[in-house]
Amino acid sequence: MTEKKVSFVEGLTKRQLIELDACTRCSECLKWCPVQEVTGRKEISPPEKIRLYREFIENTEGLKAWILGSRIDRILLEDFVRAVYECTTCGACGDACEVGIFSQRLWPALRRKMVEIGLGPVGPQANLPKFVKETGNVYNKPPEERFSKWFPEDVKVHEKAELGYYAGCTGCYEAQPMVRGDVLVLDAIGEPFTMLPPEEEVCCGFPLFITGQWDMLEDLVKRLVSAYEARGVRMLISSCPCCVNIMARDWPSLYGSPLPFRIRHISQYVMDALRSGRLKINNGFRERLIYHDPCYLSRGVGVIEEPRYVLRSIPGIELIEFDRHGMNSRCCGAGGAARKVFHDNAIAMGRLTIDEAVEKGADKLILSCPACYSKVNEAMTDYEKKIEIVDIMELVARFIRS
Amino acid sequence: MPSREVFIYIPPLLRMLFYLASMLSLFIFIIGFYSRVSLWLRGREEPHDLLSRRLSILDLIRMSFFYFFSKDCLLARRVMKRSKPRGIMLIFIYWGLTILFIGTVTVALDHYLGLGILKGFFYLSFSLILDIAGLASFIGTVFFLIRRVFLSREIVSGWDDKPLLLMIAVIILTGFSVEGIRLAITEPPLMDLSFVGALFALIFKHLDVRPFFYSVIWSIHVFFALLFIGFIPFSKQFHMFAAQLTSQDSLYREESLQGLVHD
Repeated sequence: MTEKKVSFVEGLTKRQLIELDACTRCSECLKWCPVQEVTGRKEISPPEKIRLYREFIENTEGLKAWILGSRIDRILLEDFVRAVYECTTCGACGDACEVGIFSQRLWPALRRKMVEIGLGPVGPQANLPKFVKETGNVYNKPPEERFSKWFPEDVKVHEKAELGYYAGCTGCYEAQPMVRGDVLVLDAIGEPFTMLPPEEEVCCGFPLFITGQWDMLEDLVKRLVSAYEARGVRMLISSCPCCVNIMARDWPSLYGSPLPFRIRHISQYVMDALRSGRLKINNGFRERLIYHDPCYLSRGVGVIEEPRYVLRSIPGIELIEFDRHGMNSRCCGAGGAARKVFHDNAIAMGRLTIDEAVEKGADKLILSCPACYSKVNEAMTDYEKKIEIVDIMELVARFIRS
Repeated sequence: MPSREVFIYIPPLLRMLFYLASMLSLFIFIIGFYSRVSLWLRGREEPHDLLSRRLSILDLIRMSFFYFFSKDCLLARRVMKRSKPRGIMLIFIYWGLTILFIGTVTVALDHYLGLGILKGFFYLSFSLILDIAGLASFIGTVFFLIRRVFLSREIVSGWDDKPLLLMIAVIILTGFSVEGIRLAITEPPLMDLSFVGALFALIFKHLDVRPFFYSVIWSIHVFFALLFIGFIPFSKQFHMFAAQLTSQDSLYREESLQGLVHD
């Protein structure tokens, strides 16, 4: 079966088109790709995806197409769709890439193209726009339940404030101890902060962005930015690395101008509070903690030191590291909206994280991403190895409240 | 005074064929290059992205060319960071082929402009350096070829990966053979300085080769060399231009990463 008149070039940036030609298939990325680690299937590896996509371009718009006519093999295209969606978009391949391909940005762009030609997304991902449209969140949960099940009663949210807090869908519906910890810590710092009402705090757009379904993005971003601006926000913080990533990287272009506020991850804000003395952690405990760098926090926006600073501020703790940490951290399996479609892969990756944490003798596995939190907890269900999983702010909140 | 005659043992008809084939190869290269880079330029613009700004073909050539001579590129730093053996072998190929290219351009200039610089001490040094460059690029090419063949389970290869490496190896081998045959026949003074060519000469001397054989091997060498040049824009080898740009951009990206959520 063949397809005609499909542009595989339009929509990609110049850099991404150059990147497709830059790949040398050295295959260094295969050593670091978490999907390769758990599946071992080379046909879904980064160089193979690039090779296939380049072939689509050559067969439809290159000199070859000009001479032989534009043709594309539908079976190859379907193989490619599976490969590009099975990826967790963690970007480890890009960090390892010897020619500097920025894969964390390339894969979503290629997924967008698959959506454009009607072959993506895969499985339940296709429901995301409908869910966001109807409920404002990607979990299709009632918006009135967004904050009600976890928000501490004694914490005051101001109508207007320079500091804004965005809880995010995954935190609110799937990692509630985490977002509860966030607001308890913010409350302890004492600076007035504002939040949007639950029905107004809609999806940041990341799940739609990452699955290639970009149609609603502009509208979502404009609604959110205008709402925070109306509340006088000058700095918007979130604990979700994916939210922070899209806010910092893509919100300005989707909004059409620079944002009226700065974007920060909560660990950055808390680190500043600790440094300036606005937050003090007097209690602590003698435990070994191991911190997992979320892909979209470390490779995505370069927040690596701040969470470690916060953890080291807890008296008595010993902070240990995964073999792969910082820019080279290993995906826990929750990335790229693949966790609900390629469930087995995600669980296997989550268990690799648990295995290493247990082997290194850590007492607690510290996370700072709601998707990681949800998936690694799920991976531990019915697994023989056990470790306590705690979010970084959930942990800090324990010591400032006790 | 040591020197060498260009197109020695090559009959006029073969020379003419060589010029025609060279023009064809270069023409295909230019068309392919233009077609591929034009495709890049159709990409969407992103003002904050170094490579996705408003750029012309000349901008891209300039950026690619300058990075070619950067420390990162000359020392294969990104590859070296991941694997020392691969980094060293890449340097062998990169430096080797670059020196051979410069050498060929020098011979052409000397021949067509009648400069007369390729003689005496300069010629001997030139021959020695080019022999070292050829040997280095051959070692590097064979290394990557072996890697692709024996590590095929761990490495992703396209249809063109192994044939391209094999083609480079054949070009270098036939190049040394041509040199060896010439040395075997002419036995110029201080020929041992071209140590790889001299080694080949030892073999060919035993085979009692004639000028006709020289022209045959030379034709094979030229055929593959010109085929390779024309094939560059249509193969993975185009990474020699694209990777210069993305590697450069990645350095910029590492800096800009800090600007996203940091002051």
